[in-house]
Amino acid sequence: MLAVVLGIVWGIMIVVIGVSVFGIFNYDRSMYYSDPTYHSDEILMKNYGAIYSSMNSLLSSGNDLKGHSEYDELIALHDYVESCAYFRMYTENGETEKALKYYTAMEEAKSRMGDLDFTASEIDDLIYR
Amino acid sequence: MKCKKCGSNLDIDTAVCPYCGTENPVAKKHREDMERFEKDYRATKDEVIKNTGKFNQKAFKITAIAVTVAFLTLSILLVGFNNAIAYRVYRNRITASSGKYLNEIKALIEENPLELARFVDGKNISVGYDRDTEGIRYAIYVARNYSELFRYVMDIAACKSPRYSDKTPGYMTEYLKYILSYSEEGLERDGELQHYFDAVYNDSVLLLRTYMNLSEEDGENLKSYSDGKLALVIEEAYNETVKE
Repeated sequence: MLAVVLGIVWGIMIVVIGVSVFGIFNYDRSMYYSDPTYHSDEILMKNYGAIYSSMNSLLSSGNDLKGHSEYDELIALHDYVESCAYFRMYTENGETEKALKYYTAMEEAKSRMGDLDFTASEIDDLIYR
Repeated sequence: MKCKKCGSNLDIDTAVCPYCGTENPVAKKHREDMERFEKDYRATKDEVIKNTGKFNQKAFKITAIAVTVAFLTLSILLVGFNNAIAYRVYRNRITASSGKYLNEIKALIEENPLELARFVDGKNISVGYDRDTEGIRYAIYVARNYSELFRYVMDIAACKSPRYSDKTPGYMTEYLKYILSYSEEGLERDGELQHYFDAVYNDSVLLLRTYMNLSEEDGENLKSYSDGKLALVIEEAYNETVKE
């Protein structure tokens, strides 16, 4: 009887420990902000600053993004927000050279935005409101 | 011993004298004693084996239960702290020394503090306490705080409906204060980075002036403000911007 109980307990423990150890050594695979609903909601609500924040966290997390093309357009959106913000900031304060650099960066980011390129004009409107 | 009749030498276990045929009474008793001892010895041996077996079985059960309970506790702890352990293992795995990336860090210092913060955090670079890299360490601290300030400003500037939070002005004030204090400490350690610290401070002021309605006067005097005045100015600018 004891042997059966211990056998079951050990069986469960081995599975649980195995799954935990796998999780420990594959932590980076589970770190992606994989909920597309979150980002589509933010796009619908035109809260591009929130997408900027989450993509900035993703880019700062050290995850290897190779093979995760689902983030390419969102990262391009992140880059566009950043460049656009800098562009306005430097333009309005007379730093033309820096502004020009970020204008080029905006164009480059826009070229990577794919299906999200419609958001570029909305981001412009928000940044310049 | 000697035979009672003929006096010849006998062994203790010789039943009959080989010379005169007289029975040896000591030998009989000796045989009986030996049989009794043998019987007692076997009985004791059997009992010892039986008791030892019982003890071993009990000890094995107790040990098995104790080991199981110990491993069960460990596995519960492992599951409970799985995320924390995984994060620590993951960060250790990607931790890089600053020396390996020093040239890239120096190049990014000349480029953009936001890129610098992402690069350093993305690679989990920890800059040591060497005298040569102390200024760079503070440059990284400044970049991280500027990155957070920028993120908070974008949450307002690039959102159609910014979410109001009464904690946000406090966070923004803290980041600004850190930018100022780390810049001062960084300058004390590496005067060559003055242009970097000045540029980040100027960008912070421009950011707040452009997107947070910070007045030109406040922008120019931000450095000289006390902590209380700084908090008040940021809070007013935030409230005005978010209300708009």
